[in-house]
Amino acid sequence: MEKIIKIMSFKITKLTAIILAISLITVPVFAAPTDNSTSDEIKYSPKNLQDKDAMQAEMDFYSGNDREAELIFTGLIGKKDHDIALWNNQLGSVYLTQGKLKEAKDAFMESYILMNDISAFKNLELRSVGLLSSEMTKGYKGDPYEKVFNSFYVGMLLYADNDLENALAAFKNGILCDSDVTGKLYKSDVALMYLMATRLELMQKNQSMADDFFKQATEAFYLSHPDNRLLVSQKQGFLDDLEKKQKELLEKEAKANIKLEKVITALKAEISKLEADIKSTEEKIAENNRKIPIDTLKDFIDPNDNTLICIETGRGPLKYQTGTYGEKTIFIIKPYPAVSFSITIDNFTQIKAGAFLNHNDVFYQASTRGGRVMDSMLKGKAEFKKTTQDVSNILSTASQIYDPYGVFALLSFASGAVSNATNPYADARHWSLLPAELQIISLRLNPGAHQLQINAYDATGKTIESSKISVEITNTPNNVIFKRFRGVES
Amino acid sequence: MKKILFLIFLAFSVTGCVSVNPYVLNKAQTSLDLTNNRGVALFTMKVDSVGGTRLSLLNFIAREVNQYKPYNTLGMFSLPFLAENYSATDNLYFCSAVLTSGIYRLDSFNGMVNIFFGMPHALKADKIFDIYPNKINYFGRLNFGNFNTQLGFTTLIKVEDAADQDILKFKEIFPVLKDKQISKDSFY
Repeated sequence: MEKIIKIMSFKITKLTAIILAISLITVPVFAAPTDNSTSDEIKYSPKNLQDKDAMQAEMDFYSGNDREAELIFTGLIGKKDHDIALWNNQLGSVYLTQGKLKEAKDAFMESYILMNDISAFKNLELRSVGLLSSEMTKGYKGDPYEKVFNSFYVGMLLYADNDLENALAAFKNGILCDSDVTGKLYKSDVALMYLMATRLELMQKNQSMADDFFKQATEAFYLSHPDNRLLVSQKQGFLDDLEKKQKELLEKEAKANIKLEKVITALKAEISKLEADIKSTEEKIAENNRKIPIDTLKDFIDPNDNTLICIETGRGPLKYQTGTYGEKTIFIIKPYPAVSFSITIDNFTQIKAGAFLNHNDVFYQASTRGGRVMDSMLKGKAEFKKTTQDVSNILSTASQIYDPYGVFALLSFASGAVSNATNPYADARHWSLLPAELQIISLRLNPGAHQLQINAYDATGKTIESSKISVEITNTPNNVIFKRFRGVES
Repeated sequence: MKKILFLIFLAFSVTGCVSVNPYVLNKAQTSLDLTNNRGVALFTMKVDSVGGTRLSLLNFIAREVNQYKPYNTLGMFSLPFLAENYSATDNLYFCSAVLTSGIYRLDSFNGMVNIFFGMPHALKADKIFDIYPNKINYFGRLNFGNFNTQLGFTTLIKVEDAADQDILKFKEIFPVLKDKQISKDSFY
């Protein structure tokens, strides 16, 4: 026996030494570049990049290394895979931060086409609902809030290019995407989209359309205002309950018999109470609305202004998986300390906080989208995974007690294998380079070169970030300037 | 046999099969390797003993949060507590983690209440933090108050910013940080 062990150990040593020698010789040979490309071109070429490298690009972006982030996302776009719309959105945000508006427009436009094409990646979508397939295998098209902001950027950049017809179409598309949420009250509550549509209609002398959009902008602004958010959420809850109870009442009344009379009476009482609660909440919202100033909305559509300065702040919502099997996703936001801004133009004119159109909160839009059909599918997959795992465990225990032919053991193994292969993991892909909030101001600046100093202040009024930018205002009514503040890491 | 194991380890190392693992700082460390896009997270933790019962902490768990990787391939790292992590004078644990740049979830601190009977206890943090390439960041002080002896876990009460005191102490405990720039970031 000892002799056999000795021979075996000798052979293993020999084999390992051979593997080591081969790897040392072959690795450098195969790794050597065969063309004259630079090291960056090789490192960031699509074939050398993997999806997981995008995390490095994300962290590079948030630590101020835009160049590295740009190279990685450009390389990933080159792969032309099912995440191409995501890579383009991320790259668009990098370009926008760098002030490369033309490149940003092209990247956002690529995403825009795919995100709004119902037929794109259809075969992948069908495959992803299977028990063994992951939701991540389907093509990325984004949540409603991501579609809204993609449309917003496309619209803004087309507007800056003086392509007013297409810009208006993009804003209208954004308004439509925002209606694709579960809660009725959260449908189309992005005031910014309506305001841009108003501005464009005014530029094209369509007064009645402009009035319509402005009315909807005001409603959306009230609805998504921080003072109203809790009340709106309460009202949505009451409305959902009311819908359920009314449905239940109709079913019971259809079956009408003496036994159900008490239940019907109780349901009617509950419905009356819910209706009273809704009315009371509506009154509170109306009272709040009277106190919310809307001067900034009126200033925003002033036809005499020729410049929009769009300040993007912080970091967009982070989406990640939770639940026993990662079958659910939640959103969380990294707090950004800046709450207000000031702009000093040519060391002379200073514009302060109140003039900015604010509360364009990306996290609020992301977290009020409601449930998706896919969520219940993933829940089903998670339950199936748990059941098959439980069955496997029970059969395994049974096989240890009495299983002369190994049937239980075999079934346990099969059930365990099915459980392991079941893929209930939720898709957490999201546009992570979006800002947390957008604050926009509409101004009239004389054509020519200007120096802008933009300061960001925290809640105590302390300056936490400051940036000086040089801008060239053209003799057109639609100049657009973007400035991103990324927090302590920028 | 030792030779065989060594050769197998060497073969794996050379062919790149051994991944870059996270690690914690120790007081004897003289250099800080932040190559391969690594960064450092520093934070302190406070938990008070109840009566004579003391909690002995063994490790803390950090989970990778990465939207670009399938959920079942995300890393879960158990980072050990060393003797130097606890400062009796401050009743504070000084925690460090050297990780590849990315987003992580600080899951929990795990230990034993009453070592002889071995009752496991977890301090649930559930906080997200970021690791930036080649950067050392201080994230705050996690305060758990008194640990709950009735349950198997205690929940986090608050995160405080004690950067001024904590960063000085970190530099004192871990000489490798002495000349390094430590920035401030926050859990979320």
